[in-house]
Order: sequence, then C-alpha cells, then structure tokens
Amino acid sequence: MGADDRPVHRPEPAFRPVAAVVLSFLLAGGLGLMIGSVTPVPSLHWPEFGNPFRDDPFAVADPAGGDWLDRSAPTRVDIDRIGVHAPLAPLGLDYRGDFEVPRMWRPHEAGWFEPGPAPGEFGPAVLMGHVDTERSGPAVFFAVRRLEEGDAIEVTREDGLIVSYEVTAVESFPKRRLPYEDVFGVEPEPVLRLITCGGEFDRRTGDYTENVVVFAEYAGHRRATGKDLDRPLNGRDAFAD
Amino acid sequence: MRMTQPVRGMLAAIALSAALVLSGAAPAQAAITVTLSPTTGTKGTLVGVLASNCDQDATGDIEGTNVSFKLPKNNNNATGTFTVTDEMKPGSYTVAVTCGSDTASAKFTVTSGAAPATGGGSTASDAASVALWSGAGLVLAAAAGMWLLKRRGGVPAA
Repeated sequence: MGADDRPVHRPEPAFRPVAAVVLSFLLAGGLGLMIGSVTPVPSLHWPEFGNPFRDDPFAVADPAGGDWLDRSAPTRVDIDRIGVHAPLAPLGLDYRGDFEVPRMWRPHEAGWFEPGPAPGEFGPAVLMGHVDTERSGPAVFFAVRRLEEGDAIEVTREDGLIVSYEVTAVESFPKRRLPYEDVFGVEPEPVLRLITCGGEFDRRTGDYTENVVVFAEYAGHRRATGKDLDRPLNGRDAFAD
Repeated sequence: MRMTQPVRGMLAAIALSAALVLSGAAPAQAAITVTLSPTTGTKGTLVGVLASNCDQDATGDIEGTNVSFKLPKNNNNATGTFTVTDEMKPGSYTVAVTCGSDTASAKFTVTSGAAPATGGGSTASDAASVALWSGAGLVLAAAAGMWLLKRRGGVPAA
C-alpha cells in the first residue's frame, strides 16, 4: 500500500468480466433477434391422431334433428369482446376458383361464404374478413386472433333471428395446407368459422402465409329485439388511421 | 387436435343411444336428405356423403361429371364417399343421391385450392422489422460496449 498512494478508484474486480459476459449476452440476443426476424418460423401443429370423425364425419351428425334453422342470409356479425360489429356481404368464388374476399376498400365489412350453409343451418357457416388493408391499417377481423374459448359471437340473419355461437378454438394454418375437412366439415351441431389472415406477410406474393381460423359452435338462437337492431355498426371510419 | 375429443365422444355416445331408442320407437318415413362433409373442397378432398332416412343401399352421382359412387346402408342411413377429381374444375356441383325411388341432392363447391387472401399487409411484418432493428441496435450497443471495455484497459470504467 505504501508504494501505491494514488487514490484508488477502481471498479470492483468483478466488473470487467461481468460486463463482458453481459455484453456478450446482449450481442447474442441481438443477433438472435436479427436472425429470428428474417427466418420464417414454421408453425407447429400436433399431428393428427386418428380422429374417428375423420373416418365417419356423420357418426353423430343429425342434419334433420335439433332446432336447426332454415336458410336465411346473414346480415351482420357482432363479437362484443373484441368490438366487432360488421355488416356481411355474400361471397362466392372468383373467376379463378379462389375464395372471394371482401373489397379491400371496405375494411369494415366481412363476408359470408354463400355457397355453404347459412348461420343456424346444419353444417359449417363460414365468414371471412380481412385482417388488414393494403395501406390504411387494421380491418374488420384484425382482433379475431385474440378470441378465446367461450367467447360469444352473434350473427343476425335477414329473417330477424340472431344465432349465437361460442368459440371453441382459434388456430392458424399454413395457407397451402388449409384443412378443408376441419374448416368445412360438419359437426353434430351447426358451427361457425371465421377466417382471416395470419402469420408472416409475404411481400413477393402480396399475401399472408397463414390463415387464422376461429372455430365456434352453436349456442342457440333468439329473435332480434329493438335493442339488437339499434346496435350501431362499425363504419369505414372506424378503420381509418 | 382441437381438444374437443372427450366432449365429442360423449356426444357420440349420447347421440348413438338416442338414435337406437328412436329407431326402435318409430320407423323413419321422413324424406331423405343429403349432407356432405366437408361442404367445400379442392382437388383430392375426400368428401363424406350421408343420405339420412335412406334405409337401403344407394348410389350417388355428381351432375355434370362422370363421378359416381356407392352409399352402402348404414343403420337407418346410407353413407359413402367420393374424392374430388381433376376433372372437377372450380365451381358449384350438385351431388345427387338415388335411394330406391327417392332422390335428393346437396350442393358441393370446388375451389382452386388457394386459401382465402384476407389481408393486405399494412399491419404486417412490423413485428419482424422491429425485431430486426432492435436486434441490430443491441448488437451495435454490445459491440460499442466491448470496444470501450477493451480500449480503456485498466482505466476505471466508472
């Protein structure tokens, strides 16, 4: 001590190695983030374990039984928990045989796949909506990926009936392997599917890589009251940013 | 896959026992109905066909194609399958089932196989680019820190 009488103001001995370790973690984390952001993450799914309904989808189906409804076009869909109050337009196939989707300049609008069953009819009623538009931000089904099991979906029909559904699952499928059997297959009761986009956006093809599908099952129907009919719809302005 | 298997199993059991009781009680004389599953498909999709209240072997045809198939009797119904063939171009098809002297039909839609293009991309890849830039920032900061650490040598860093 005698030889060295400079006022010692050294960092603690452990500072440098600790700093080096922390910095290398930062470096590794940063590199990981960069690599992760440019590498598409494959979406993992459980393999199918011999689903008996796959072999016989009609094992429990009763198309004629139950209080299923006759056909009537749906006019609006309401999902209170995520603030969806959207008008529905009928959709079919376009000239290429692709699914028609709502017009890009009508981001507040969702569509009903008209060749399939209507809500309340036996079978899968399918609604499609954009997750976002080309330039103005979120669209009608932006928030459906946040739906959870048990959430309520209400579809109002032209005949004044409101069909209620309860969400059973939300899944994301790679677009090249959209499982028609699951999405368009019948179940013991009428079911509803909401389809929108998810996954990464492929700038080259101008399309998302996955479809988010909300599976929901029939939970009854009722006649629309004045209060139901007075509910405002989200207009186009709700989606301008 | 969708976690509803036990529930579905229970439903199956209930429905089957109910069906047994019902079929014992009242012989079905209702009109036959045709149900498809899935209702929409593409080339290669295997489609199940159910002819309810058809108490005998039946045959099915897809109008406008040469696809036909058998629906063997199955309890009180007849069930069969067909696979969407190459010749079935995208569009709407009528699947007609002949059960004895009765016929009934259901609509089936064939698509090109492309999935719904339900997004324009304006909210997309923000997460990816945010991750990219924050990762780059972290790497820069870490590199700068290491350089400082090395350059200052024994000099107090505090």
